[in-house]
Amino acid sequence: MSEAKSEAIVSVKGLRKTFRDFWGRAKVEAVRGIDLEIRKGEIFGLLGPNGSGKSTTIKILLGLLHATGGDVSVLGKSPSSVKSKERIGYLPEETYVYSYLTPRETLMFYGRLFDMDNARIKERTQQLLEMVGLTHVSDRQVGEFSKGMARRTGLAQALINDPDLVILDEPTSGLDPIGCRQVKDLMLELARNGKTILLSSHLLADVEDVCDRVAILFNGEIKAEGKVEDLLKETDSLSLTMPSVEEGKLEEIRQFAAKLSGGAVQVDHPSMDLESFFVDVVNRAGDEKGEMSGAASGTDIAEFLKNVS
Amino acid sequence: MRKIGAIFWLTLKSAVRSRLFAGSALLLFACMAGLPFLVKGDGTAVGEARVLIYYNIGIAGMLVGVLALLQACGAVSQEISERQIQLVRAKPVSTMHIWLGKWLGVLCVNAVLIAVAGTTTRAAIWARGLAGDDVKAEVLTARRRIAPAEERVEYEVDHLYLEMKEAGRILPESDESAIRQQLKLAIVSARTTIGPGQQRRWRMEIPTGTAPKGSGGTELRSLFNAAYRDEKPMLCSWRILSDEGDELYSVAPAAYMDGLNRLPLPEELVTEHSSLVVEFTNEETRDGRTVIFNERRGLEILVNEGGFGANMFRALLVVFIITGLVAALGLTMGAVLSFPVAVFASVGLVIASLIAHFFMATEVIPHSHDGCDHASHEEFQLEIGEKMAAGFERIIGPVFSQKPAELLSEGLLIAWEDVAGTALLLFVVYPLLLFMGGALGLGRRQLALPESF
Repeated sequence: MSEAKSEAIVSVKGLRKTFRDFWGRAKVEAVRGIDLEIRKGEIFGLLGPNGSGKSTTIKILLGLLHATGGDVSVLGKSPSSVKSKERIGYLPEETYVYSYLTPRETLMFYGRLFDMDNARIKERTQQLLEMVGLTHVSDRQVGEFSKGMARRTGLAQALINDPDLVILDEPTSGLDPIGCRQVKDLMLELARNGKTILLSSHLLADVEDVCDRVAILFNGEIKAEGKVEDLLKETDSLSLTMPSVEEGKLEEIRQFAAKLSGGAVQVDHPSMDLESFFVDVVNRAGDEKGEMSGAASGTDIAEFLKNVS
Repeated sequence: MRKIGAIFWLTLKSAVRSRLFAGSALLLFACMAGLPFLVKGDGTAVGEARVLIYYNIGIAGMLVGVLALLQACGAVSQEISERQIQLVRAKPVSTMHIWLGKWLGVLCVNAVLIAVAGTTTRAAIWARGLAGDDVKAEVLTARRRIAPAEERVEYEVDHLYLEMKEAGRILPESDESAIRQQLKLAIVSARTTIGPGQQRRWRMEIPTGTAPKGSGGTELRSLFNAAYRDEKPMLCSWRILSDEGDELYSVAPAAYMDGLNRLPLPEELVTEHSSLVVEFTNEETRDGRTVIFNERRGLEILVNEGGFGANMFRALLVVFIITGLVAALGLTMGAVLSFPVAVFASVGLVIASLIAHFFMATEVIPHSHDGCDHASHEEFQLEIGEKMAAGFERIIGPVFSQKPAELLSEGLLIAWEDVAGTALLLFVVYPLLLFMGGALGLGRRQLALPESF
């Protein structure tokens, strides 16, 4: 990890959150003493089953909920600081955008909340709409959209300010496999460009594909934390990939390997995962595509997000 | 400013797309256009024009006020319940930006609706052919009303009360405040009653800024009744004196019928003097009768100062200011409470204010006497109720003292300085207090609580 990446963007110490009822009686202890540190340029995954405290933690980081105890610092400031939010992009677990606005109006509206000038907002809006594949429906109201299209609008609004910290809560929820892949590619691209990403998900494959480090939450506590490869590495076995050979030679290899390792050797063909296969098929079909009413595939990352900060 | 502008634009967009707005705008237009064809005045064009203006402006104020309250209550609370506020608050936006942007948005909607109401009312007056000379002179005008300075009667009340007490005409267990109230009414009543051969003087303060239009129309208007009905007129005379007692203008004894009487005055009287003394003499004659001046509008000087259009604009401006305050109240309630609770609380507050104002204005609550030892629980409760109502009245009195529909329909001037004073209090001071409460409340509120909380 480079020197630049060692700067802590999010720092959480002993975070606790208890939800109380109208009379002030403690009802749910959603977060029970979490310690976290997310460093600049990394993709940090917050994993856990439903109700484990992922979204609560995120909402505390954004100042939408008040912590019951502990210290929280986001970009060096308190979560309630208006100033720090200038550098944050947020996509909630549901896309809470205004149904009566079009995607273009939505992006223009959120852009203005960042005090950006109109020319820049327009330019970024166009780039983001292209990036999420909504250019051809940019003047339809979001209320008429499918969940996935609304999600793409939500994702675009999270990036309108070219944020340094992107907080994505279940970003692939409601997206088709191509959309999921694009979001994952986008996260990797953003991280390469120096952005820090906090990803909350219960889709393990998503997290495994993109995250540098993860924390697994259960019942409001961190049960495991570390680099993905360290957590998943099985140090007592090996896999070897090579071009296909005829059956006789394969048997020879198996016997040789068994002799060397002194244990059972398993040989099979590596398989493509279903997501990659799906993307491959749809991309090929896309070459013959006509007019589409839904979201298009989208393009590469928006130009303004490529600037390495 | 761009942040406030963005939220303002969003509020407008939301209002324009809402069925509540469309329905209210339609209802307002229907009322404004339809009411003139339903109302009947006193059979005269002047009466019809008065009723039309009074009801149209009154109903417009009420409808826009209700819509403003509902819209403002929902502007923040519904965004919280539908969770869009989470995305807004995750941006660099303070609660002050949100409150102000929303308020300006609701104000803009109010302004559009009030403008529609004003234009429709003006068109209705024209459509009903209510533009004759008498209507122009009495209703479609803007006359400054100068009423007699309020006379203090406390000294006379004290004197009479002590006199009665010493004479043993007051029982020890009597309610002192009730007796004083009765004495006050008797004194005021005696002052408005002038017998044959008697004289009465009123002091009139001329407000600074009184500027007659220059086309005449300045007049002394009196409204009195004879003690008993008779076909024969009464002989009365008027004199206008300076503060020092110099005669400035006089009218020789002439015949007057009971009812409304008008006496044209030279404009210099109100431009060259800061106060005038009006003297009325009920001349002693064989057919002389006692005259009783109307308590509310017995005597007034009317100065024609401007046109109806500008006056109507100011009346609508006052309506706009009041609906703006209502919107501020709704917005603050909506910032700290859920939508139905905010509406309930706001409406409850308005109703409580109205009741307090009614009781204080009509003095239905008898004033408890000083030094009372609260002999009964009921008396104590009454005193608490009175104090609460008085407190309420002190706060909301300036709101209910605004009568734009009444003044406009009477052809009375709504002066710019009055509008400015109203605006300062009801459009700046009160909303500022509500704004601070609303912004603070929203800032302290947790905006992403699970639904069950």
